[in-house]
Amino acid sequence: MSYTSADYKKCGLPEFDCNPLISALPPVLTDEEAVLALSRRPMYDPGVRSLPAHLRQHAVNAILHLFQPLSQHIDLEDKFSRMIRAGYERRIPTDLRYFATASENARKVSLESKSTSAALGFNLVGTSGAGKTTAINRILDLYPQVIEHTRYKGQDIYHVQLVWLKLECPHDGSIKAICYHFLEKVDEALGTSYRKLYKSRSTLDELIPIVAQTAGNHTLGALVIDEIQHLSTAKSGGSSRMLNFFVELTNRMSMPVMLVGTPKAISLMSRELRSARRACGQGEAIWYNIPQNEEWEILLEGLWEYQYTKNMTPLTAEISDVLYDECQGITDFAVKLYMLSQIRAISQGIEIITPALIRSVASDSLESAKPFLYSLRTRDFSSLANYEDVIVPIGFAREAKRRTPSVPKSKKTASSQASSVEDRKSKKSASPRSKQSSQGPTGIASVHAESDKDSNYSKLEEKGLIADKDELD
Amino acid sequence: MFPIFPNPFPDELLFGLLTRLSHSLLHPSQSALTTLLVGSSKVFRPSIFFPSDFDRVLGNLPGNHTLGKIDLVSKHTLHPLFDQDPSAIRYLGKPKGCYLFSCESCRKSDASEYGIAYWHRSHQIPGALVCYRHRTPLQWSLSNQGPHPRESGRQRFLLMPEEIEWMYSPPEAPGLLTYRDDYHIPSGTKFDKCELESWFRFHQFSQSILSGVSMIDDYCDIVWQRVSDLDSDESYADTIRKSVKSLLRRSGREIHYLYRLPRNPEGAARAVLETLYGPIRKIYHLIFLLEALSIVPVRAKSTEA
Repeated sequence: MSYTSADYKKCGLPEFDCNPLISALPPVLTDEEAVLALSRRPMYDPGVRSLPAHLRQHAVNAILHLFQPLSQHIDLEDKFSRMIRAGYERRIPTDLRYFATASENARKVSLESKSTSAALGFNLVGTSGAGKTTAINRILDLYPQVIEHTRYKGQDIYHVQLVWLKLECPHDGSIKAICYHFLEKVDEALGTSYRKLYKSRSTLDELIPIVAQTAGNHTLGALVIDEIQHLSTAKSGGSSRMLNFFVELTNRMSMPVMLVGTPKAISLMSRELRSARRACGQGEAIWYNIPQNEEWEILLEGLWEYQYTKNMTPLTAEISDVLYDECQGITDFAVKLYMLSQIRAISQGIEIITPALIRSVASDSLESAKPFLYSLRTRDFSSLANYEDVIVPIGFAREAKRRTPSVPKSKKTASSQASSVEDRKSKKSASPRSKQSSQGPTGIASVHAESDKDSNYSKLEEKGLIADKDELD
Repeated sequence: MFPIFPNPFPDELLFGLLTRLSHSLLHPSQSALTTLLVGSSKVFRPSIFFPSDFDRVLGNLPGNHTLGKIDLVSKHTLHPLFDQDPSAIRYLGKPKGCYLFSCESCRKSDASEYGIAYWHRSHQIPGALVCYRHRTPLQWSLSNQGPHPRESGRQRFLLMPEEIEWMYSPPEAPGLLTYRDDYHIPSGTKFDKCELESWFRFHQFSQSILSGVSMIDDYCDIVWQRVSDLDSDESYADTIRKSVKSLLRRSGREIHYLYRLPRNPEGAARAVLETLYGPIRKIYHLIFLLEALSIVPVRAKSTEA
């Protein structure tokens, strides 16, 4: 396996320029550069529109590879860039003491210890389908995953730097599974055989220092854990132990851990005070569905170029409105709707995208998401709270807690737990599982149970309970 | 492939690099580590002098690794003591029941400078009993299994100096090395200053050979000449002279008897020299000659007094 050789570049910041791990990273990007770097536009030749229908139906898939950067992506790239560099600032492999210190620290990592927050990592929480994973993958693609150092400032030094590693939280939320998964991913990136090397190590007490040590040996820059909401299915106490593990890794190894998940994860993370503090290291990123403003227009304009129907359909306000109405600013739905509409236009010989076509495709293809999209459309937050994968403004949850102080602990929902940090301390045995969808009215639902559904939003807005996205950043 | 082979520290033994690798991997099992190092689970006993399978270890390193074989052999093994041509590598097995040596002061200074105490090549020179840097006696690993002691039924493999226990003399020769105040060593013990001084010099010579600056042949010639000039009536000097001559022709087997050298040069050396060759053999000549030059006159004086 061959690795990318380190190419040290100076940026003018002394603390960056004297650190081989940072100066070997690609340069820090301006917003404009980030847009260009993140943007991914598959090849498109207008001539493809004259090809036979069966071929064009395949060509439409190119839309899946398109990435149109929006302001939230630029913000995320900036946060990630700051996070990874901040993590490297205290790690200098040319320092003779670095590896011994890393070994010493790795041996101290424990699920039980209570270290104070170092605030290096951050969390990205977003509605399902908001494009979190795609965005993270695009950002990670800006960095080589492995950099090989052989000589730095006249000094022979062999070091293989692992810049990032992305894992998915296991479905059962088990720490052991994530440790093995970590080693497998490291092997995949470096061509090593750590998983085999430690096949006889099977207890958590053995595995945890191994993960920390491996991260330290390869100066892992950022550990990204996707689908963190799976932790909600962990055994009792499992989710807080897992989050504690990430805090320990961040603090002891100076290695930022970024947690990515749907809002279902918020309740889990907020219950852990230290994790909540840590989340604020680079500012927490919360992604709602895209509002119908210029962001939506940018997304549509980026998409619209990729038309495979015989006739080019201009992007009109009507089409934009219909598409938004059908997908409610959820990018995944928007892209799929656009694709499927084209496929249907081609297969039925209509060869043009019309509002009626979009509505008909939405009706057929987004069948299972209909109730959810309806709730979003009608701003029915009491219903929305039943969907664990959707962002509900935090103001609702706070209000819900204030109004229902006597709700038995066992019946608390994820939403109410989101703001009950103090409560967590006295609730050691609480189950992390929050079966919102199966427990009938939730905290938010109880607040609004008596309200007229259509006017929920305006009433809450009047009371100042709806947090603005910028305030939450 | 294992892309985390440590970058060597000054005077670090190649064997020590393997222990540091093992330490940085949280000591995997012996078979797992062997598979990692040499690509198969074949029994691999890393020798203290020069790991015999090291070609395979080097072959497993990433292509751009800065470690070169010749460099490793000449700077991080005891090979130069036996042959000063690093390309003509002789593979030396670990003598059975071999102790490892370490200096307490070096361990402290390593820990503050490098964050961890490591295995020094200069401490493992056969027969070296005094640290050439600190003039302190070397400590002996508690187990003569070297750094492979068994712990609660599970063999721990390739340990760092801080992970094993140390003692100041081997159990079979209690009180062999004790010190005087001028050597910064615990007081209240007996030690012959000349004895220590001569071993210190021995270590210095050995170290100078390792670092490639020694003119050992010249030293030998000069010292030999002076021994020859000694008064032939001096019975002790004569004994030494005879011993040295005869030892060159005799055979012996186990080099770890070297610790007996200060007390019983003749017997120890007889047991030793046959197994040695190359520059180190000359060092032993030299040390006997130094014995003759320094110890004898002192003893002669004390006899006179």
